[in-house]
Amino acid sequence: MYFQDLILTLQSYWAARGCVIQQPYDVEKGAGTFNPATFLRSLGPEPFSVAYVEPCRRPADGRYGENPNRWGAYYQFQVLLKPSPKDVLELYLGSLKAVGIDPEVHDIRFVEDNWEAPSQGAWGLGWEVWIDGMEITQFTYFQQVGGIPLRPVAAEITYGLERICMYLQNVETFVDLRWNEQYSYADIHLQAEVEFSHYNFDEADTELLFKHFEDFEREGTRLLAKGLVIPGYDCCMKASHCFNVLDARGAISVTERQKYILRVRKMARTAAESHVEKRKALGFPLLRDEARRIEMLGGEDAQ
Amino acid sequence: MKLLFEIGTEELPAGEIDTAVETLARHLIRACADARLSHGEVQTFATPRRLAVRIHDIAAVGEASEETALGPAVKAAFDAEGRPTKAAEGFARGKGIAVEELLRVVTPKGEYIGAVVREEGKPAAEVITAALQSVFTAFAWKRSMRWGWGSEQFARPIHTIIALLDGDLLPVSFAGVEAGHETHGHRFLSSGTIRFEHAADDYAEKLRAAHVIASVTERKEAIRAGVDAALRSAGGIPIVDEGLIDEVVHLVEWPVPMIGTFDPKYTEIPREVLTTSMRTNQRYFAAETADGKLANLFCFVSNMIVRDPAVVVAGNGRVLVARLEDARFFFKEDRKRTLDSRRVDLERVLYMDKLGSVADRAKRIEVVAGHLATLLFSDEPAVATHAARAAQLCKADLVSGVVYQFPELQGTIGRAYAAADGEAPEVAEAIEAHYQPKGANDATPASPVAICVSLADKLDTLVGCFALGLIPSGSADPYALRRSAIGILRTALDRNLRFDLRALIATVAAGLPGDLGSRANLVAEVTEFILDRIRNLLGQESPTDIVAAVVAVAENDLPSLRARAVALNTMRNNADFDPLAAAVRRVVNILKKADEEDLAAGRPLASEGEVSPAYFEKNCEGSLREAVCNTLPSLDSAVAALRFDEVANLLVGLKPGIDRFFDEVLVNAEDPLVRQNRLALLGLIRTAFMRFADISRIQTQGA
Repeated sequence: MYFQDLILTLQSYWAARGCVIQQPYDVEKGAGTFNPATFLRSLGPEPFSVAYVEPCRRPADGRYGENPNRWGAYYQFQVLLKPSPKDVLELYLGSLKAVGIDPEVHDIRFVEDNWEAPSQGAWGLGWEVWIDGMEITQFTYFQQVGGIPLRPVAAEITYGLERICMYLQNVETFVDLRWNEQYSYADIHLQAEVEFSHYNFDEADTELLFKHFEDFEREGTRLLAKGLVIPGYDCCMKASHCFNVLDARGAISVTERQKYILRVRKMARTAAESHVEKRKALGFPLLRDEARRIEMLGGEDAQ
Repeated sequence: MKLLFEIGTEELPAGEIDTAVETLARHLIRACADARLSHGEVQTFATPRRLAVRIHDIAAVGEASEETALGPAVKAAFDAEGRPTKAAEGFARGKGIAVEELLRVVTPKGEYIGAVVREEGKPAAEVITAALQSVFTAFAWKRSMRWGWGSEQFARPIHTIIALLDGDLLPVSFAGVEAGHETHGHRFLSSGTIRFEHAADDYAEKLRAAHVIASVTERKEAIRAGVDAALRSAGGIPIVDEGLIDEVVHLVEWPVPMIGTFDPKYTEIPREVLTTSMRTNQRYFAAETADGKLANLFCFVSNMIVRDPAVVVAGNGRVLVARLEDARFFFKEDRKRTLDSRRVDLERVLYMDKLGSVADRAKRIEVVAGHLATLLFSDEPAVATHAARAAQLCKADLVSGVVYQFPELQGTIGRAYAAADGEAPEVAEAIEAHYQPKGANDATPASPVAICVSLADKLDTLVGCFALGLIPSGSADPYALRRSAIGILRTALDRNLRFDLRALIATVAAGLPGDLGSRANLVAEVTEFILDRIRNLLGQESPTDIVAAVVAVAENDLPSLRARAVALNTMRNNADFDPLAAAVRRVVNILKKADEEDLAAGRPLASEGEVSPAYFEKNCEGSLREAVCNTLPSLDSAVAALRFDEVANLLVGLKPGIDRFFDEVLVNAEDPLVRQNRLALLGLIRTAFMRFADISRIQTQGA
């Protein structure tokens, strides 16, 4: 199965199970969870199921394309199911079958893994999913996002696309993956990986990035105060990416690191709180179960 | 009757399953006991996807109980004419009986009215239904979660509940799941559901048919035997790893051990790196070759019967190779430099705000370790040299590539690199052992060099954190200071080390940067914190007042504390003990007051003065002095030999003299010189008793 077919198959699989198929969000991010389709939509009582492929940037993980499976930019396939359905694990296993991973041929295991994203004020419980000893998916029941406990709880499924594809194509490295019949993963992305490794480790202008961080923080805080939730949250994502590059560049000491994470988290929390307030003011329009809608609108007041 | 109860879940955290199933069983056993419901054997079962219990021979009904409840005193229950008061009527009404049925009960505190209260036994179904309904919230999960719209919490979502009392379904439900007859078998090796009609149905056998071994012991045995056989069949000698078996047992419902090999070139990497990669990251078992080297074999326990095991083995092998490749890369990079050359890199690693870099910390440890070596091992001059060197190097592996990848190998890698660099074996060993004891079950450091570095390391952490005000409160102890303190104590007890705790802490404090160590009370706070740990430690074996009495006098003789406490406990049972303790308390109180007065007046302490026969007025004074002075040498040699029973006997022997003294003499004599002399004599008695314990702190009858 080609890399692009893996994406297409997962999209059709989840589309057939009621997911909105969204496209990647056009701001740099370290993980698919940052995408507002997960971060903001997981908040509040409105049901929402979505699937999308997400390019992730983790500057510190760049290895100039030389490490077999550690790159500074890679793809996740992200599924959010809210509320978490009772048969969510069966649905997930069905998706593995759809891409050609037969549970009768492999040893598939759910190994405890408690997920936490300090910069997003988010945590959840779930598993790493192993196939023959290799982690291919992170499965999480979100309990809290942006510091807010979730009700209903959403299930998040994050597939490591390259790793799954390495398995399917029986190759040992990202660069050997076939994107389609004509092109390899390397043909599509290697130049960018090498150049960005140089940029992130050696060239990024730290003074400029520190300034950008401050600017995005100030701008985001201002916008969130005005109730412009999504533009404000964009600034939070951008500040977070500046931090990630500065971190890769070794420009942030161990003690400062925690302080920067807390600054990003503060913005994320504000965005989360503003988002819930705003959706509530709108009457939680996507919550179509009327009895539940009234309960959630009233119940919130009662708190 | 029989009970079968099962909670069917999504995959539970492996590390919590044993505790959970124990909680389940205990909860039910307690509920039966509280309801006086007798039962037979209690069997437990647990897999990643279920917690189950089966109880045999449950009585149909609990036993009835009869108790006499006490009401108001007879005086309050009847008026002057002998008529029942409102209080008596209220009590009778409350117990559901007529006033005429009230009893009179004589107690040591007087006569009361009473009522016989009879509680009928409840039917088993009622007792057990209530117990099962409340068990879902009785588990102490490390973290629990909600799912869907629910607000109930559990470790992972619940899918099925079976609650059968014989053939009856008990009305139990949780998080929207009603108890029923069905559960699931193996996630991939069975389909549909498994049905139980009766609690007597063979739970284990029905699950076995669905590829689930429900018994933890049986699964463990299958893994133990299977791993052993697989590794042996490939020519390896298995390295037994019970801890790993305990974890793996809860990752599979149907264990299938499989075996693979890796390229022997990776065996050049230090063995611990390989085994950590295999064990921690992948949960693989390892084996040795006949000559004791690590074999290039790995064994893992899959949860599947597959058509072609080669596919599963190849997949696992590929993951292992990726990890070993990483480890080999970092190892080769690391070995381009000596461990010693990394010390400069520690200057760039911040230890803690205001406490400087890790390099600064290593320098402090070096000074204290050297000090300890001269203090504790003065007859082995090489210890000081080696301890100083080991301290210099003990943190250097923190900046190696391998420890960056495998933080749990700190110390182990330092030892391997130091040995490869040609450092002395004592130095290499101490680099690894200075982290000991790593937990309650870990051994304390044994070699003199490791003892010095380990104590210095822990003291630096403790005193440094206290200097910064990072003092543990309640359950919050982010820097694991309690563990450091317990590590110091356990090492002192195990290795028979005697040192002046306060002086040692003061030395460590003096070495902290700037004026951090000069904070008032710092030394006292750290000392008290450490002593509190030993009070807890000994408090598990001896009563609190006994522990307080021995710690009060022997904080500089930690290894003797346990023997002192045991002897004091025996001594307390002596018929003469209580009056003796009272007499000593009297001595201590008189001296305390006198010492305070002397201090306030700026005089030398009378209690520490010479006892002069010239001021004796009664015979009993001279004979008491003689008795104490005669006892002291035997007392000292018995203390030194830790023969505290003998010490106690010697002190009890002083009792008649002390009693006579207090009977015949007034300490506060009018002549100040006589008074001072008597205080000095009491001082001598206090000295003698404090060689053993401060028995004035012991609770006595009538005290």
